[in-house]
Amino acid sequence: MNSKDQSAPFLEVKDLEVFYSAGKQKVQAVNGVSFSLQKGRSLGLVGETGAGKTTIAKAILRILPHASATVKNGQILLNGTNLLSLSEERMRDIRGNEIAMIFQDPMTALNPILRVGNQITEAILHHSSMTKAEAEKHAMEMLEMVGIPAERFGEYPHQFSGGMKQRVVIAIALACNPALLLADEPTTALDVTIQAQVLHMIAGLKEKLGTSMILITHDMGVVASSCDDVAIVYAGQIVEYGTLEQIFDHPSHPYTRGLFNAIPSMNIDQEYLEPIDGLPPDPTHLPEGCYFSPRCKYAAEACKTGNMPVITTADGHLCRCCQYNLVAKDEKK
Amino acid sequence: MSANEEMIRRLAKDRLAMLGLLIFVAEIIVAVFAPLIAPSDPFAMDFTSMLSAPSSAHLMGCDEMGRDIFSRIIYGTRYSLGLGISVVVVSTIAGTIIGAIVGYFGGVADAVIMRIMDVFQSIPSLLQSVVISVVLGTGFFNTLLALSIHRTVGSARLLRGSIMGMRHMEYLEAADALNCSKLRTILKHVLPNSFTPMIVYATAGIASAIMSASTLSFIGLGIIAPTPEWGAMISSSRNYFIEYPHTVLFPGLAIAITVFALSVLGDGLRDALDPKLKN
Amino acid sequence: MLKYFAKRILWMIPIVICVALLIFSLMRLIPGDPARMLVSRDATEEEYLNKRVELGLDEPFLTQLGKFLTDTFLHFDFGKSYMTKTSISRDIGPRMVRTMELGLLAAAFAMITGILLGITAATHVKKWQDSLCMIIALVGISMPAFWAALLLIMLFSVKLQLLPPSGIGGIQYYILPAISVGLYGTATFARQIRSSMLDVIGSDYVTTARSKGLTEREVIYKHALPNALIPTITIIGGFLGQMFGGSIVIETIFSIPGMGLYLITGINNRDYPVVQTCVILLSIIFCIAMLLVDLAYAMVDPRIKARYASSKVKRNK
Repeated sequence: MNSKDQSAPFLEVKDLEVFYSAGKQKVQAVNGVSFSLQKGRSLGLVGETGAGKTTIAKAILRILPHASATVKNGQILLNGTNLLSLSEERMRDIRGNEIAMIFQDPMTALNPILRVGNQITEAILHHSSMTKAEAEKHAMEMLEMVGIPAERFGEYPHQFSGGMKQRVVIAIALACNPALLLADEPTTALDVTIQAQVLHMIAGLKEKLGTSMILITHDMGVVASSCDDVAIVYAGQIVEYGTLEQIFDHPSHPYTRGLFNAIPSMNIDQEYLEPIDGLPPDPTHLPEGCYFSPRCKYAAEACKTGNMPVITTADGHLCRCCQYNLVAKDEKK
Repeated sequence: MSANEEMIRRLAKDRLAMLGLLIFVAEIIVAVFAPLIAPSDPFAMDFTSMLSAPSSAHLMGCDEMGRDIFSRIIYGTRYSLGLGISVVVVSTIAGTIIGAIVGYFGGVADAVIMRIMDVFQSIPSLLQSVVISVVLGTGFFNTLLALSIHRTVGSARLLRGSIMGMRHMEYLEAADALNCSKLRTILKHVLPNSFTPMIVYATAGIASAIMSASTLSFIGLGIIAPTPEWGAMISSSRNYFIEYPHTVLFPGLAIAITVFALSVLGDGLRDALDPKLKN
Repeated sequence: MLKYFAKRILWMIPIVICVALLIFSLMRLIPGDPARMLVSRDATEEEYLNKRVELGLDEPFLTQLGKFLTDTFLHFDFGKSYMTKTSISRDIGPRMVRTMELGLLAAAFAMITGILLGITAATHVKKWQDSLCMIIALVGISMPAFWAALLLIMLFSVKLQLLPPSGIGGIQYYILPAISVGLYGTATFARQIRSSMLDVIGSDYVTTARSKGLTEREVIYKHALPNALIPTITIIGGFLGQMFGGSIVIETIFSIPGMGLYLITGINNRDYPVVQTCVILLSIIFCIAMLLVDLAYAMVDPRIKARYASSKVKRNK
């Protein structure tokens, strides 16, 4: 674990809280999320749809819709600078340059009436002193790098397949060689056969360019193949956080265990999968106490009131559950 | 009918649309009870008060013949609203029949009628109404006809479009499978589902019919003086408006307020019927 | 795509002929005999019959129709005005130019003001700027063009004495008419642009543009607006129809000797050839304008362009 020997982490998110408001209704999308990421590592944010994963990523890049979303609390430190207190102008220099994002749906992430080449060039021109010709040359190199022939520079998005579009999106994101890449379910919208290709490519490029990455997904398989650290998100909170090994070998939170039990195993001949009972909570009316308690078979009286504290179970392995001992015992059986 | 209640609830929340509805209903009441509300006879000429400015005796003043403008505007609701509503009713019925026939049966009927409609639609709408009302002459029914033809084509196209869009919907195939007659299918399934675009089109249609009617009357076609149609009032006072602006100001305001009310009501209805469209 | 538009242009020919046929027949249905109107009140029966022969009204309907169609479409001769006895083909030229000038100015006015209002509203949604722009748009939709024209004359010509109230001359003579005709367009464009801008601003590619670090101005004008304009192009068609109709009325108010005034004079004098010519030419201009709108639509959206390009294999509907 190299988390101890470095003083300041590359990215540190502290007590992030985000609200959405629609009319008079307020929705707590992110409730005090804290995590850190070391240079060059990949963090997987895992959770169900609506758990607040994308909101965390958009909050880091400060591209939440300002009409409806408010960041209530917290700090986002990139190399020690709090992004939330930067001016919009300074933030623009960071967006696309130091932090870039890959979006979930490649079908809608590209502007349909601009040539793909120009959509890449635009980002480069904005963050470097290159001339137009140099930027275009670099954009072509980026296309080649993601496996698209440079001749397709002048084509429009509708001329590309879904997987190819996602490659273009990746090329845009990596065009300025960002230090941090936010990948929001980059493969969900793609065919299964293409998914592996794209993931493999992201991993390769990340290695080559030394980029740190936050990978948002609900797919444990994707996490296993591309992440170093894992954070499990439930109802806008991180319920468990640790290295890949810690989470996969010793899942401590009942929700994490539920996630694993819902995956068919290759080794054992399973007749039934074990789903997690109930539904994720309504974010406008979060339950008292531990947000997972209504669905949790380990829930005790203590879980139904107050704030659930975060407990460190092993070296850097965090878990937001007071019953983790029971869970661990269960695992041994 | 909870979908309807939901729609009404949404509409009731839209304050601007409610204002529009209020104005529209108030104008209908005024039109019906015009003789009780109007302070004087809209046709009575009083040469002593020709072109007199607004006063306590004549709220909106008098026109070039000394007729009370306020009373004329009140009676004018009968012509403007009456024309607007009748044009929409006539053209919606005619358009629905034509649209249903061509949309559902398709084939030769569709091709022929659509080509005829192409011809009608390649003449700008007001130009068309002008030519037809030249042929038919002035008066309420002739103007009604002149304004309805263009709208009929529009309604028919709209309905045809929505029928074409749903012709291959599964519930229609199901109805086919159950051996429902074509007529029954149209009446029971197709028309109710085309209702939403039709009602929005109709509300906006009253506004545009009122506008076109007043324009026709303004250029001396449509309904002509001394009938107190708003456009005709502006037309007959036009030569005096520089010295006596009240003679064209008030009838114009009457048109603008009515069209405004119907536009916001139409917007509100569209949003209430299809909340997806609302931003 | 060329093939598609060639087909559209060819298809215009039968439509225009049908319009001509329709208008010619309608003119013959108008009550009242133009020959009777043209001869003096105490004219003898012989003078009246001579007039009918002179105007060609003595021939059977079908013969008249055939002559009219061949003259119009084969010789491009629209005949002579009953009233002035001058060649319509010659008279109509400068009038057409004036009407087109008015139309283009009005369209430019409507588009520029409409886009500005729409963008302001969309970028300040639910704030006072939004309400203000939408109220302006609603007022624009509610005012009849002829009434707006009278109010504008009142304000700018009579009270402020800034602009001429009627006639033709320099550009200043066109300003008030263009605003009167364009006002409705301003309002409809503003509303359409606002709603399509709001759709577009919420879309993923705008977020992508923002995540690249572009300035808000670049995001709005380079990414959002061009996409928001595409659905707006389709309403230009409806606006053009309104505009050609509106110009008939506005030309009479401002005494601009264009096609609108020519048409109204023709109607009042039962000058059939003049009325026919104006209606046919206005319809042709209208059809061409609609075609150009479709063409523009295909040009700006590469997706539609691609669809037309591949329409060779599709059915021709």
